Amino acid sequence: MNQDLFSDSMHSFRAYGLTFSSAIRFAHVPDAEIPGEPDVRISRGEIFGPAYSPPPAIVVESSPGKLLIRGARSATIQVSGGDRIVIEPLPGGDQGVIRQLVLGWALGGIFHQRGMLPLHASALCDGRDCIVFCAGSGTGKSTLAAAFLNQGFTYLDDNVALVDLGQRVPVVVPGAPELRLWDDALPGLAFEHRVVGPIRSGFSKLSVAAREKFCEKEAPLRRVFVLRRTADREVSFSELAGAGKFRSLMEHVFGLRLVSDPISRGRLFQLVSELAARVAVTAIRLPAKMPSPETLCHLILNHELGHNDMSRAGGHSPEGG
Amino acid sequence: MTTITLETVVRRNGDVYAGVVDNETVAMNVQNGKYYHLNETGSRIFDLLAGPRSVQSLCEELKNQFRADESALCQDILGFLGEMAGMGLILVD
Repeated sequence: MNQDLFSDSMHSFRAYGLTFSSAIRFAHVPDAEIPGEPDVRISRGEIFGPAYSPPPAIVVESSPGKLLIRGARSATIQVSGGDRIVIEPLPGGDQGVIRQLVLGWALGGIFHQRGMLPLHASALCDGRDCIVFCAGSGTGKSTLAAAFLNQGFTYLDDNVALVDLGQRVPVVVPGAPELRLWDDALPGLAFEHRVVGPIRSGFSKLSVAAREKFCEKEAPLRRVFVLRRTADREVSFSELAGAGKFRSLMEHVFGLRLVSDPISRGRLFQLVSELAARVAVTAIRLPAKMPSPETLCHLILNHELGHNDMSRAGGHSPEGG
Repeated sequence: MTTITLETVVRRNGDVYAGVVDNETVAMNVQNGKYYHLNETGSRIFDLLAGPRSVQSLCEELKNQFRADESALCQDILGFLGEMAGMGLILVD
């Protein structure tokens, strides 16, 4: 990750149902030929100029159609119109932090400005439809996703499950072919993968490209799982309904804090309440002493067996365990 | 806090969006981002306040739906409306 952040040439790629033209190359996303105008442009530009003094801690300012991310040491990023991300790096700004701000909050700003519904979740596909795991940071969502991939599943995204409600059933749209894993999870991966580098410098969480496991087609959303760490002694499942279901989904909207104006809130409320009305949501209470990701994966698959005839991804044993 | 009586005219707050999930009503005030769960009675009251109306007319309509004692029902409704006004779900004219 010693290359310059910005390329001399623009990179075109597809992700989340959108086409991008970017002055930053994201190593885990392959370039693609994009005819016509891109949906989103990512470029370097001046927002405040050289006399600007950044705040002591990151500040996010959001208004209809405009998002301003004022980093303390990395960059100032402006997101506008749902189609433009402009980055003004600060002197000495960490490239990895800037990349993560673009892929995180800036992309979240794009999604919300475009009226899309992103969940902070991993989305996994069994070859027929998909399941989504919502969880707070540090709950183990990515290592659980890796366990499912080892069982033959593919993934639509490891960080954002973008839900399209415009079809007969809700579908999740393919995102970016990147897994985010701690380095001690790598030896357990039973599929081809390539370590791109740390998510940001000094951080032991890694960006891992696993193209052969990436699902390039949208998939019908069968169920949302919401993972929650508790002081319980064992894993338990409960089906959510009504207001509890709505609340769980709303709490896991990607970039929720970016949605702070009444128009955007109203639009998001309608999307989340529609999703809640159309999809099954299961809460998984995780015990204080966590099971291994493999054990948790099998518990979840067995739970799914009890709900519906779930077609198996290749390699999964019906007996589980 | 405004005192609500049978003569008071109440209406939904236009800043509140509502939706139904599994027969439960969820509502959000888009000005402050807070969301609420309305129980069955609250949902029925909220449904009946699409336009401004007096508390008295609300009581009469709900009396027929619940087949309850009017006086006790009105007291309950006044209580509900007070709570809903406090949460900003309805407005008092």
